[in-house]
Amino acid sequence: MIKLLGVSKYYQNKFDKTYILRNINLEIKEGEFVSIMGPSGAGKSTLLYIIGMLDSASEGEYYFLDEQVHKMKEKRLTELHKSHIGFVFQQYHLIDELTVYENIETPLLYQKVSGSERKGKVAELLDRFNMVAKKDLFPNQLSGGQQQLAAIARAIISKPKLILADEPTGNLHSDQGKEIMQLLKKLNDEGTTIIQVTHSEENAKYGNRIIKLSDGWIEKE
Amino acid sequence: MLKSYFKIAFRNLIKNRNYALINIIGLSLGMAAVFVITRFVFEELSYDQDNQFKNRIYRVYHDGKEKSGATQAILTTAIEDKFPEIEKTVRIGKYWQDYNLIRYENRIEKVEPFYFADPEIFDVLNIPLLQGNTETCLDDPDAVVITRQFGEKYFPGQNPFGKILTIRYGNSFYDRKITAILDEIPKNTYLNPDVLLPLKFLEQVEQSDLFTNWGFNSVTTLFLLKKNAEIEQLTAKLNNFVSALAPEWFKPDYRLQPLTRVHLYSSDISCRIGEYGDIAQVRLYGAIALIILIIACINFINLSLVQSSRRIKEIGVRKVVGAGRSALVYQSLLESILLSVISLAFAFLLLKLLLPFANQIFNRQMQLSLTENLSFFLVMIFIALLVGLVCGGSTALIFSSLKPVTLFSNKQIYSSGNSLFKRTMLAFQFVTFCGLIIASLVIRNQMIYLSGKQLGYNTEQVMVIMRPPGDTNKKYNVFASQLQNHSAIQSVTISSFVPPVFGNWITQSLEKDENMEWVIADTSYLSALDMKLVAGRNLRENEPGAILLNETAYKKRFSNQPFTPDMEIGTDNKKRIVGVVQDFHTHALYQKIDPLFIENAGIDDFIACISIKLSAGQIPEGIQQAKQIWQKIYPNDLFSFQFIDEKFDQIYQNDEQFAQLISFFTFLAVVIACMGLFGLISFTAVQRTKEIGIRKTLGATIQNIALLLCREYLIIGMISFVFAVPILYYLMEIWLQRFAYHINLDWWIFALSGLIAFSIAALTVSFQAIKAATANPVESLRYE
Repeated sequence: MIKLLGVSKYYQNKFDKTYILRNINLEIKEGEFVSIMGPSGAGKSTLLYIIGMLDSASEGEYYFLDEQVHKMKEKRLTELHKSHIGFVFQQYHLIDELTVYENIETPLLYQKVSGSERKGKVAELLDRFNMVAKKDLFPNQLSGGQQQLAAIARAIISKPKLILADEPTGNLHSDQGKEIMQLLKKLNDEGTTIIQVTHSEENAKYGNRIIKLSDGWIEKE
Repeated sequence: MLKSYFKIAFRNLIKNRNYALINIIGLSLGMAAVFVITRFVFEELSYDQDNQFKNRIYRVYHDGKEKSGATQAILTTAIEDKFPEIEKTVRIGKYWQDYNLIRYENRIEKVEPFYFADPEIFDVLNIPLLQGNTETCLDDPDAVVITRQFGEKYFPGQNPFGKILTIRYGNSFYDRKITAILDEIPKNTYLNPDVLLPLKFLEQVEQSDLFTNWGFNSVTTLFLLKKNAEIEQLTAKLNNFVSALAPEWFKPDYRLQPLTRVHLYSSDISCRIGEYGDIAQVRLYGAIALIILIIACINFINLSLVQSSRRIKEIGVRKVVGAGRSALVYQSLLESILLSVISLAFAFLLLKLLLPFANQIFNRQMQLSLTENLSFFLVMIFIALLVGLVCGGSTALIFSSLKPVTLFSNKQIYSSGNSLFKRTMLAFQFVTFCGLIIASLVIRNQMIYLSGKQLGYNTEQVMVIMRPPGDTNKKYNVFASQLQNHSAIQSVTISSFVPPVFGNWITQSLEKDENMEWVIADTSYLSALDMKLVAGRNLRENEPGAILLNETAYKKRFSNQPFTPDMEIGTDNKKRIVGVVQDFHTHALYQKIDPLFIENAGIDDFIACISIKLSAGQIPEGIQQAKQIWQKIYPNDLFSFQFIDEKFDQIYQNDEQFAQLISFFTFLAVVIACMGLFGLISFTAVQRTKEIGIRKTLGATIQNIALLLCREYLIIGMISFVFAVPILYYLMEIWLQRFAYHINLDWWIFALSGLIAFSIAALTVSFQAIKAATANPVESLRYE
């Protein structure tokens, strides 16, 4: 599903390049649950963002579903990522001005899904996540765990093939964290590919593959 | 999708309501000012545009050293049927306007000037009749045509058609029969008569050669041309034709001016009838409107940019969940258009409220009606949408191009510091801000100078009455002697001219090629006007050839020679100088004091004004007494007077209006700029909360922090001021050239303006800066 060949990421300073990622070669198959681990500054998040097409590599080739992402125009990129990729962040990143319901609905709006279909899909997810009572609340009226639930609901509403999670439990209590991890596991069991960045060995255990990054290099698997 | 955008936009408005309010108030004030001016510009441009022949009507004027719109009545008769290009001609005249009176039910009233015209006026100028026949209603010399409103005033509840109206023209009363009623003529028409009389009437009552002599420049002539007439050719032909026909001393220099240009492009053509504007004024106000709109837009863009930087997260999230660049641009545009439409609504309300004042200042009767001013409304909406597009577009382009990753990294894309774009825009705003403050100070100072200048005579206690036509010296002497019996009246004088513009301005040459202003006056002229003699004595009764010179005339003729009684001046026309009067301002301060002499000569024709000096503190009584005596002695004439200082106010009215307008715009620009500045500084403070907290924990004082926040604005402000000074110095020099007597552009005016601008800006900025600086650092750090 995902194939990275010799991908590097660096920032050009006046005299030298600061490398974030160096010569990454990586293949991830559909249905995998991958955890990216490593110390702070190792380039975990950058790798995740490149895979998620939010950032671009400085060098190397990136194939997503056999399409050449590194040569793609912005419009096609937007198309690709909005139909196949869902994001979950440590800071949830819900839109503060929108209610839970509207936040979950937003991706469908950008995909031009019809009104009645949207209603059905959002209602189904709210029901599944037990959030029906909270649907008209704004993000700042929810606990961290509930916000993350809403963020996951938003990430999966358009049934993406791939979910990218950047320390999804980093801001949560352990109980809430467990709940979120179980949810991700369940999604994986249903067939969604998941890549998460995490510091916690425990969380990594939910997955079936661990990639260790250090100083921009892949250390070992 | 749209619904979601609107939802976000509204919630954002409410969440950031203070900034939204600043934005909306600033923008609606700016728009309102622009709309008021635009309305005026539209009004001015609309003159005579409704005339169905507007492209075929031309006014004839003389294109000599001094252009004049007064042509000869004989021109029309001379060229009749000689030029196939000319379909119709019409002559229009306006005479004795100070003395046009109407009498009804034993009361006498002054009316708007009577116009005299050929019957063709109805066809050419598209004047509609309610009743009567356009062909015949001006045929009879005994006819009069009035408007419906005029009829309602004098014959309330009755149909005035066929009724008799007594008019006073010159010295006599005439009974005229109403032969037609005019329908309402739109205000934006060059000629807007209340009362029309046949030109034939003049043939009856005026000197007979008015219509036969090429020396009388007495009427305005309009041509209605055939379609596709060649103007240049026709003008040449016309001049040649008249040249061959007229006496040798008459040198025709006719030119044709299209009717559509008469209203705005006639400021250098004298002898006008009708209502005029000035294209220079329209352009100036247009430029001011544009500047204000730009200031308001800059405010809007700056505020929405800093505000959007708080919404970077939202933009990032939207990109992550699948928003393309165009979707983000649409959203941004929609939001700013929403703001500008809200501002449009407020601006429209303001416009409605301001229109009466605008009418007063511009001296127009502008209306707002959706049907009649549709194009104006469309332009207003267009301006609002354009503002929204430009402002929203510039923010959208900056943000939508950013990568989502940068958006999450909390970098300040449009931070307080380094944006050249923002600084340039701020600088433009400041230049205008300082410029307007300088301009309004200079203009206000000049107006104060005008009203405070010592003119060399008394302006406050002297009322001037125009002498009735046909008055005799005998009658006047009775009037004057009866007046002098009252304690409220100090003295009375009769003269040909009273400054600044009463009566007749005549010149006379005593010595070769030396024209001098000539005032014919009786012996109480000096005492009534409080003029002072610097040498010699006043004039006496029955003293032919005795004159007074003013200082300017004396110096010009005798330079430093000391005055001795009975010096002589003049070659053919010898005069004896009995005294020298201190220089006084014969005209308004637009003109220099010219050489002048005063003579007690009994030339009745010229003697036109009666001036009455009232005792200070007894002015109402004085007026009352004068009125009673007047009504006894001149029962057929209207008692109408004006004080000299009122006349001055009237003369300076245009400049006073300009001063008011500039003050208003200065106020507006200051308000808008201050609100923008206030918004900017509060955003800077919010954005730099963390930095401020850190600096304070490291020991920075309140002053350090406040200065840190303000420094940028102070520097931009100073640079802008340096730019504004030379520009304004140049512009104000040009404006002051209007006046022969004016203030100097001293350094202190600029220094004071700078101080005012600096104080206003500093006050605005420091309030927020100090607030941010005094906040508890722990609070600001915990915020993260």
